[in-house]
Amino acid sequence: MSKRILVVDDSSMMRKMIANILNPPGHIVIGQAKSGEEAVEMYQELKPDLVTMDITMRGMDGITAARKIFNLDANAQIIFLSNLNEDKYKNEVEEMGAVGFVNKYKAAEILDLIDGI
Amino acid sequence: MLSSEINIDPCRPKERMWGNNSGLHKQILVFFTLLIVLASILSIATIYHHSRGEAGLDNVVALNQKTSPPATLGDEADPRINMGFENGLIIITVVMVCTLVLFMFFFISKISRPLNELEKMTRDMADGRLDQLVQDTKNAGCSIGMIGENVNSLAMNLQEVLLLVWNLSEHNLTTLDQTIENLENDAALPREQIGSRLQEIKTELEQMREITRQFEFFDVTLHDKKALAKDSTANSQPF
Repeated sequence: MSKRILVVDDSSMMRKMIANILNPPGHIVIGQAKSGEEAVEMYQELKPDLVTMDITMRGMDGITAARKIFNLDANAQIIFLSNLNEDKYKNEVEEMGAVGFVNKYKAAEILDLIDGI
Repeated sequence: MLSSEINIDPCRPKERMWGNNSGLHKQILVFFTLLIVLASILSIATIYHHSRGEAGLDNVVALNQKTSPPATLGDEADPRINMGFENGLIIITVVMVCTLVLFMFFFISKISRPLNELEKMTRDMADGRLDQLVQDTKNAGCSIGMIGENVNSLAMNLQEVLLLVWNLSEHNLTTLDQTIENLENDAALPREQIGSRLQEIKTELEQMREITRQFEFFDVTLHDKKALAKDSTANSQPF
């Protein structure tokens, strides 16, 4: 089923890459944020079905932004997509309530996670 | 990996580099100092001319009182107009000097300092250092702030792609090491298992290739799974 997705990443190339993965199966990227602050603002404004969230960003990082989004909406669906080590961060983000953690080099796996929601 | 010791172009002559950190700053300071000195000279010359004019006028008045009847109203108008003009010139010069001083401080704080920072950051980036970003891009002058933001964005993109290559390489090397070890120790390793691991590596490499395709390259194009000089791709097209 098609999802309305907010992509959060401070790298424009990565935002483009994620959008290129999400668009072909029919998902719609309704917004792109380049910082945690922007992500929280855009989440309130756009009410997306799902958020893909980077961790390290200038200004507010992805984990802080996700906590703020969960405070606004406890049912928010967030997938972390990062270049950081999966073993170190996967448990932390899943305990927080995120759908999952995917390393960027295998970013296409987010499609499997989305299908599983 | 990336460090400040790496010099991409060690043969680059020093004078071709952006210079030391305060080069531009110094040039701007010299420019404004010269302008202020010129304005000050103009001001002093005007004041000197003005004081001599007054002394000359006193002499003329004294001489006139001795040798001629009192001057008419029309005769006194010319020196007064001249004095008014000189006073105006002094005021304009003083205002000009003050404006230049203020503009110099504004220029240094809003343009020169951010430009210096930008110059240092881009030089570090060219040397392979991505651990520094341009600060205060919002406080700098509008265009300079935007350039700083774009430079930061370029650094972020480069860092993300390099980290992605690093992670992908590490993962694929680990998979290959495991496979080689299995093959060496266990001759009966199922073909399906080997096939599955190789397929995983292939999928990840294909993904890396797709990411690379998102870039536009200088003088190089990716054509038919090959990196070719842009001119040669025209020749490679079938007729």
